[in-house]
Amino acid sequence: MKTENIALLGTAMTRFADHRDRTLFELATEAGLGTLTDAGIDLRDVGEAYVGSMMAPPMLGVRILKQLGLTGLPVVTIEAASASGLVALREASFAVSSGRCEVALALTYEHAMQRLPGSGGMTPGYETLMASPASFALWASRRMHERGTKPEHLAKLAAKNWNAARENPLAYHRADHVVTPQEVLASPSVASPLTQMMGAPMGGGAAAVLLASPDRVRRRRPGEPLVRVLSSSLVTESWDPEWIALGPAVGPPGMTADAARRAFEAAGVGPEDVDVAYVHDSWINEELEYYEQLGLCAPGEAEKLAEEGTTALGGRIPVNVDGGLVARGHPIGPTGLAQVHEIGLQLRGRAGRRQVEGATTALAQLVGGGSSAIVCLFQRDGRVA
Amino acid sequence: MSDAPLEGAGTLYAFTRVAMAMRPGMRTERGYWVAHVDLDGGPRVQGLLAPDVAEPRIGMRLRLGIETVRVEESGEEIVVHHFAADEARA
Repeated sequence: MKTENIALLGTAMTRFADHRDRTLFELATEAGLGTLTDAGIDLRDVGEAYVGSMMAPPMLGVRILKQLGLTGLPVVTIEAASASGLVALREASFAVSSGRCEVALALTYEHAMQRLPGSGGMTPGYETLMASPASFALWASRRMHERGTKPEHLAKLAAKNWNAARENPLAYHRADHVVTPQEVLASPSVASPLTQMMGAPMGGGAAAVLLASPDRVRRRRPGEPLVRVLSSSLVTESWDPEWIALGPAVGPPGMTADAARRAFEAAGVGPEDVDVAYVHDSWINEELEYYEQLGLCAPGEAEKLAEEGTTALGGRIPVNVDGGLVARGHPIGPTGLAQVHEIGLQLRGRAGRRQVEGATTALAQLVGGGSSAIVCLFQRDGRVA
Repeated sequence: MSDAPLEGAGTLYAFTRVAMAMRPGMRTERGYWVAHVDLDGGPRVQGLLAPDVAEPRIGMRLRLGIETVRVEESGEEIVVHHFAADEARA
């Protein structure tokens, strides 16, 4: 769906890390205050808040918002597993574009290392009898058979993301050396062909984004390029005879393609316009699949992109230059808004050593619990000073 | 929704060797194969590969069976379906 006349007013995130020594409240408050500071406003200026995570207990979002101020604003909790952050952004976008409020906040958080009483999560049942990495590994196994994918392709992309995270101070994994594909392949096997270094760490973290009309953002950020939210498309699983219904993690392969097609159509741009993309690489073989589903290359060409470094910084279409889920980290709830924070930096030319030169149009994609997919498109107006 | 009888034989569609335990005390603690199998009469189902499948390869023939993967202290058996090598048509 098109999200008309919405722009980023402020963004912030905590580092994604183990955070054993910090509480979920501290992390969420840091991200919330961070984005208010970035926007130069306080909570009295915020009309509505969309908050969320996958595992937090009931009403936690309201309790967290109370740390930022007692202004009486409506607070709505979103839960969409790994996609929660982008779904919160989508609802905050509509709150502003519908005229319900001038400024809306999206704030998502998670702390897998410190589960609060009343926390949720996936209940063990038949489908969780098998560890979730196995679902991704089965997908990879089939691709290896059909497309000739080698473990080396997966290792090369994982190493790309590990090395990208070396330039991101807020990333979970910050290797002190250049990570090689050989090192990725030599890390312990989780579910063949996937090794430990091909999968995302969880830990904890929080991220937040404030949205407002372009006029409001221009007043706050004179002379800065405006970062618009062009469109946001959310889909859930539809019947696909090629996919089995069991397994909470992966979902039918066509879901991301559906969401992308709708997001591009609504935004009036195409995959060829995307300068930088952030995708759901909770296991690295997903990144390979999504190159094709998002239209960043033709079906069957993803391995070539990996071989030629096309999706590394400096390549034709850099993907996950903040480290992706594999190395920036994937605490689940906040991941989507971390992508949006990063896109804000990239499109305003403030991404430092991981800057994609001239980036104008950006894409964020996530899959939620294998049952939903969301694609959001962003574009900068004006030039980077 | 209704119950439907399934054919007991099929073809290996995809597989992985999982290195992490499903639950403590199961044979699966030491690594186990998980597969997607296309049953001859449909659909595609997921299950363990039996210990006798040493080297899975996509396209190989398999037969549905059951095994006890754990016996609880109460004596209750945890039984799951698995796919064993189909001797007759391997």
